[in-house]
Amino acid sequence: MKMLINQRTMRLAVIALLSVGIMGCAATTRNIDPESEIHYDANYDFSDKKEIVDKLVGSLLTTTQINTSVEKPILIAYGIANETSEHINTGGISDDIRLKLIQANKYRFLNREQRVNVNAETEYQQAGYVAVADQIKTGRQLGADYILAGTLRSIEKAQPRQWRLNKKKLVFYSMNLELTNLETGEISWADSVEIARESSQPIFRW
Amino acid sequence: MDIKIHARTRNWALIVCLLFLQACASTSTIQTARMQYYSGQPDRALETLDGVNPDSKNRLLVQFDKGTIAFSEGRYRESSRALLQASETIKQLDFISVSEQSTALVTNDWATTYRGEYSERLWVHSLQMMNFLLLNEPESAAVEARQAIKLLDTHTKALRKDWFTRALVALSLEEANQLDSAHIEYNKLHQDADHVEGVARLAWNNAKRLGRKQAMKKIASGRDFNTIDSSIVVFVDTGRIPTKLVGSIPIDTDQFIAFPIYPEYPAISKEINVSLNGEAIPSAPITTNLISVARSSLSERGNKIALKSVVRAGVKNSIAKEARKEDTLLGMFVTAALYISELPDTRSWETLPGQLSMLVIPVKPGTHTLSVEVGSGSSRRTVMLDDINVQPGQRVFRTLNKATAAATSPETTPVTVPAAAPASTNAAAALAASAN
Repeated sequence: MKMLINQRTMRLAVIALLSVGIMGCAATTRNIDPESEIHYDANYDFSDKKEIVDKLVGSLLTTTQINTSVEKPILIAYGIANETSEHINTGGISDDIRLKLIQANKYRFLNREQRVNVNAETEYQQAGYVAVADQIKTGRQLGADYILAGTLRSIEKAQPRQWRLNKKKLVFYSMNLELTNLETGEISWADSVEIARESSQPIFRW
Repeated sequence: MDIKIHARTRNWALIVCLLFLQACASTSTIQTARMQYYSGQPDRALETLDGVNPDSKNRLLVQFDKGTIAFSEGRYRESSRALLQASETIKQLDFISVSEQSTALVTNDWATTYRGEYSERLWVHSLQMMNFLLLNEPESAAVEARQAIKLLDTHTKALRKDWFTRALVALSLEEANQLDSAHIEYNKLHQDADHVEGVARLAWNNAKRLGRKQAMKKIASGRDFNTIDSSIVVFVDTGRIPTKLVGSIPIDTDQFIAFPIYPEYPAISKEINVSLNGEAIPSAPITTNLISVARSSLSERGNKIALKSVVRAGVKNSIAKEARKEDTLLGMFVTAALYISELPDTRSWETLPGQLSMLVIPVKPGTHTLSVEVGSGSSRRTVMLDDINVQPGQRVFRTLNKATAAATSPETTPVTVPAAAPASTNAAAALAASAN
């Protein structure tokens, strides 16, 4: 009898352990609200990009330093220099800023990335393959009023070496964005966003 | 009661043997890949490395080797991907594993996941910087440069004599147009290596671009430097880094402490002679003998290794004593197993070159041919770099590997380091697609 109970208990214990193990190991997928702020560590992530883009676009849309009431200024984006110690694709930041400014209908943008393709397509049309009436007219491209450019920088500080159970890291990100007037060379508008974050991770793990 | 204790002791011995075998599994595959690489089968070597379990304790070595092998074949993007993974692995391993360290206390350090020496961690960034510059992605090279600076600042004593990497750091920052940051790094380097002519030239030129006349005067210190407007930068890698050897100190008749060491012999610098469009020119190379830096790096960890070895010796001694108390025969078996398992961790990034040099050759805008002769004594090789087109103000980067070299002369004798290592023309390379 005693033996039987032991076997039953053992079986139950094994089943319970296996269940917990299988559930624990199961792969999961879930959708995350892109508006929510999520950080797994101190490094740059999607939430930071969103914060940077929202703040800088908000600033650019409300500034009185650029007159957008009479005519929409024409901008050309020259990208954002990455001066951090992480491989961050800053093209994502400049693309999002451009997208939001276009959607706000206060600025116009020239497509610098497509210039080579635009030229190739124009040359093709002018080469005689396209009916003259359907050919686009050359010399009618818009000229930019301002250059939009910026720099993303970071300063990282690790906790000094000492006896401790956790390792702390402090990361400070600073993103500057500016509009340079092409006619005068003046910086007509500039703003920055700063993000500081501390993370901690255990020194000892199993 | 006796049987129970004997079983436990036997289990210990079995665990020791199993752990010993486990460490051997992936290292033998890596050694096979290295042999394939050095016998001229880089693709087979890469395939073999692909077969190593990605969770292996030696995964970092796999990523290191993939990086150097792909670079030597001029596959810079592939190389950079592997080295980016290596960087990620190093970050992920930045903790102390209690389970691994406990196992290592009764066996050896082969039971732990390989984390790379400080010097090897730095050379990941060196190779990445080269790859990015060769891929014409200076901003990414500058990212690697800043990661290298962190390591150089943390392990200053061990890594300060890596003139090549330090110059590459400054050059990468300069190429990304971060002239102030480059100026700081050039200054630090020039203070430590003012005898290296190539460093002074680069530092002076960057100071000139910044318009810092005082700094220019200080760097030149009476020497006459010309502005480098357009130039060709050649990365030269020669020889093979020696492997770690076994060092040991007996502490008893049946016990000893084992530790890894690098062989002690003077590093022989390879001469580099350059001809530009058929005319011999002074080259002023900026060179690092990797063995010297690797040795300093290992000795910085020396105290930790020694402390751990002493503690392990104590633990093993206690286990052996307990086993002998219970049964003489099993005691002898356990003692023997513990003795045999006392192996120093001699794992290292063995596909690295023995020497890395950088040549900065000022040229006029136009198309040029470079001939680079590398070697020492009668062991020399000459590599031709044809049709290098340089625009005004441009810096063009080249290596002596297959992707950029037009022709390599038959070697008179293999380029070797004194450890009688076979010839190697591998360079190292770099990096990767941007994250996020």
